[in-house]
Amino acid sequence: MSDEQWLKDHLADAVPPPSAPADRMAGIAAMRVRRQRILAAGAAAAVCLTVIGVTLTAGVFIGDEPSSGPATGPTESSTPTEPPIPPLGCLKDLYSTDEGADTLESGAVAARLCGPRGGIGPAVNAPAPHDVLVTGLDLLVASVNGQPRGGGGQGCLGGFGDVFLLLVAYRDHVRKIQLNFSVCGGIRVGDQWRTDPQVPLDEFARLLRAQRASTTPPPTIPDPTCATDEIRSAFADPDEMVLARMCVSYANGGSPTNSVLVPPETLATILDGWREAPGTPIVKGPACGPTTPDWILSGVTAWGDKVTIEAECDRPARGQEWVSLPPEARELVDDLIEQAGVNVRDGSDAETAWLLADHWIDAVNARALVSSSGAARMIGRVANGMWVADPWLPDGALNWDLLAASRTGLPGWQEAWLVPARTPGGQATFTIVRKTKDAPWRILSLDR
Amino acid sequence: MTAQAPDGFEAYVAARGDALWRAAWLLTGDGHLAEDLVQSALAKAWPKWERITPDGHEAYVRRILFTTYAAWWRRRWNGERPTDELPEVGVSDETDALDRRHALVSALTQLPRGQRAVVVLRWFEDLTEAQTAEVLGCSVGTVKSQSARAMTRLRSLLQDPEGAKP
Repeated sequence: MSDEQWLKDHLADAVPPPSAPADRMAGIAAMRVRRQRILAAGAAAAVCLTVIGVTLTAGVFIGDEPSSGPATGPTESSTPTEPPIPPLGCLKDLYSTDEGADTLESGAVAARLCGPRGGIGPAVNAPAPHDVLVTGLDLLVASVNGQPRGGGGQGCLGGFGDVFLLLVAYRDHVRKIQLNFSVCGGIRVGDQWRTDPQVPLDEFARLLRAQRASTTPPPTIPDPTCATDEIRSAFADPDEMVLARMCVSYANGGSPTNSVLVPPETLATILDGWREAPGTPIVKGPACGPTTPDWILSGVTAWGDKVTIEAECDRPARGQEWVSLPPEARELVDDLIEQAGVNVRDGSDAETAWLLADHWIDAVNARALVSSSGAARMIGRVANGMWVADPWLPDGALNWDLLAASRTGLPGWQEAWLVPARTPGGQATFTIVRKTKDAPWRILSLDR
Repeated sequence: MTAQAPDGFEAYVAARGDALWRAAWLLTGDGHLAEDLVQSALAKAWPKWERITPDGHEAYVRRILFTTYAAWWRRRWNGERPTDELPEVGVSDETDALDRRHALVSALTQLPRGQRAVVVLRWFEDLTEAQTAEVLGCSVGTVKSQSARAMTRLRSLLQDPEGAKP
């Protein structure tokens, strides 16, 4: 019996009989209603961000969860005559105020956090989330109103601390609440101040996490970029990152930060190791040597939140601890550092066919130069990823000079370029193609 | 509420719900999560049900099921937790057979999610490589490589002294 046949037989055998659910169809119907309401809320929030004056109806995203009974359709609670919800686009001026009462009214229908901006120097908190809070608004309002009056003061514009602007939308107006973390800060509601902006910030983060637990993340998230400053996120944990870039610099300074995108499987292994590794309290030690890398794993979550894992003197931190990564994760980190150190480009930003060929030759050469076999494998994957057809990866380095480029047509592809290259031993020609004008260039073949 | 379901939807759930649950169980290793996964997938399929020809319903629901499973993995609140204790398994009179099933399910839970999805589609759902690639939204080459890695890993995990695989 072949392995595959054995697997087929035993997989079928391994599954237990389904325990008949009480009413699967009722469960699906209830889930369908919840999804419809959540999607409507998401769409409403998205519209709020970009379109002024669009009419949205109240029943779409406020009110209690519907009963699972067979009564009304999921959208029947909509009231077409409700006035529109004001737009919730973030304002540039995070110190904006309004002339409303010093207590937030009940009946809020949406809230969005904007910022932060550092009072002096860059902000230390992560950028506010892109999504709009449409659930638990009464709790958010209570977290503001529950803080005692005091703190802050007129003209409090600076100091060491970040400032967020919390926009709270009602049917007919939007309140602007300043969460000011500077030494003279507080919560500004109308023309009055309350203490402890951390409370509503934490409550916003808690409610947003709960909301996200029952909604679907956006279809696209931004590419991670290298952070230049320490980032703390109240909205996501570092190990929630789903895309990441390994950013490396050296303590001797002067060199720009090199970076490399982290393959998903590699990221998962590193995060597992980071999460589980034993830690020791952070103590400041002697300065790093010039060859010891500082690195940041700079990532984004499925919701687009920026999160980071930082290593000082090559020691990754987790809260107030240094952690010692397990060997497998440590090896992957070392490979990424080495790969980033040689600054291999993956060809995605190659604006011309010529540049793609150039990047590929660079990658092949870098692969031959690195000492770690793991890094060599990673660079090999980068090099192979530049091919649209079966890739060719030479054993050693290439010493090729690229010549001119000429254009030709190729069936099935909108554009194709021939890029001749000269080697000490002869001449080769890349055929480089892309499907559309905006698509990335890829190598189709290499004739030697 | 169920009366509002599109034509044929309820019948499909009745006919195919348990089969979907079995695939979901192999993916999640948990009966309750499997039921959640099935219901989530079907709830997502509901709004577009009537725009899809009846012979496309199965592929459509299966694709949603597997992509929802992948999304659950990305969103960590449904993250799987390694455990030494096996989840529920089929009832059997034969201890040896039961052990083999335990070993297989245990090995399956140790595969990365992508490989596990490929295994379930290829050798439980009995799809071709091309069909598997279509469901997972990846290339046939990826399915081949994931299949090969999964088989290698399963062989390694199942080569215990008792000989889980005959």
